[in-house]
Amino acid sequence: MRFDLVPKSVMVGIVATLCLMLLALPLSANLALAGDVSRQDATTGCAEGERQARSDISGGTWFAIGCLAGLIGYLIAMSEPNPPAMQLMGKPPEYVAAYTDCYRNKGKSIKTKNALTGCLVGTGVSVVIYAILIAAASNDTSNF
Amino acid sequence: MTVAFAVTIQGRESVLPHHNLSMDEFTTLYGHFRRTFTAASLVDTTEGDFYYLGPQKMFIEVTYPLRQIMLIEGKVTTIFYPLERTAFRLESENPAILPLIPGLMAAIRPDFGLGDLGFTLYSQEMRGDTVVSSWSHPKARSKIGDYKIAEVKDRLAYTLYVSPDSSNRNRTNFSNYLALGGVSFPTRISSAAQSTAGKAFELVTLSGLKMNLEIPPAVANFQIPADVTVTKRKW
Repeated sequence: MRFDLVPKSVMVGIVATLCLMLLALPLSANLALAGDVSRQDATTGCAEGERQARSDISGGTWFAIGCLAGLIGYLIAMSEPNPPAMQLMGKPPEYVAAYTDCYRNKGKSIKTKNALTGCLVGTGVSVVIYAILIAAASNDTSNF
Repeated sequence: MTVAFAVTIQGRESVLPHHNLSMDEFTTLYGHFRRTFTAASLVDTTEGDFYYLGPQKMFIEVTYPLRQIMLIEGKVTTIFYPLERTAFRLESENPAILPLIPGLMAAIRPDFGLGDLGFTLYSQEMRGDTVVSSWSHPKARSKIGDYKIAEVKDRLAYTLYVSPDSSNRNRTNFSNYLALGGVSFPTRISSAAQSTAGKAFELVTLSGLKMNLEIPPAVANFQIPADVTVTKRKW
């Protein structure tokens, strides 16, 4: 992975996630699951899927992507997140179905919402900068 | 097998001895696993057999608390329930994270896999018979802090991570090593994590490990039976 091509705020999130995956085993991800996983029905599967998506996907990272990459960042955020298979090991079918649906929907929601906000903020900042530059140019012209 | 592994400590070259080489020494790995996850008052146990079939490919047969077959091939995860006669085919945009394997692989690699993540070894110190090294990413050290790796007699003993604000703490212990060919695998991996969400514990025990085992036809040629309806989903 070429970290030098990635904005620092995004990179920090990626590095921390990769390290926890590698060194902390799946436990850190599972810490978010400290709810009632003794019940393994669809309702619990959905709740755990959403909780896992919130744990896996950093809203701040996707805000930064949207802010820095604008529309491209927003389009990147439309892609689906990538969950760990460990969470489905030993779980019944209804749990798996609900978990995957809710994980996907929640992950997409977090990413698109934050990337869109970042995109709009980035665009707004650009507009202000252009306005200042145009105003400065106008003042220079009028001085002549 | 002991090898010398060169690393850079804050710009200076150093040498780490390490008994293991790499996962190149084996093509497949079989074992029985038992995983117990504990958080608050709940205990969640899963048990079964796994076949690591190479990078991004793994076959898992869960026998407790239910019967489940899971085949992970890169971006496709197939889950089959033989008793319920139902199955899922899950597709993701990136390869799925293999269960059990990342921690196991970290334990047998000379740099614990941190080099691939762009990490640098910052310091090393001896504490009795334990070598403790601190690793971090040069561009993110102030944000994520250091990962401490402890080795005893050239074997990974534990990893410790404490976030800079101390809100997250995770320690994983690796023990009961089993030598297979030129590679030593930890067969008891226990983790304790603590964050604002609470505390959790995980114990993974492995037994019957076999390396480069001839894969049974039922595993190598696994396919979901034709009479089973497969539900397709995208992550």
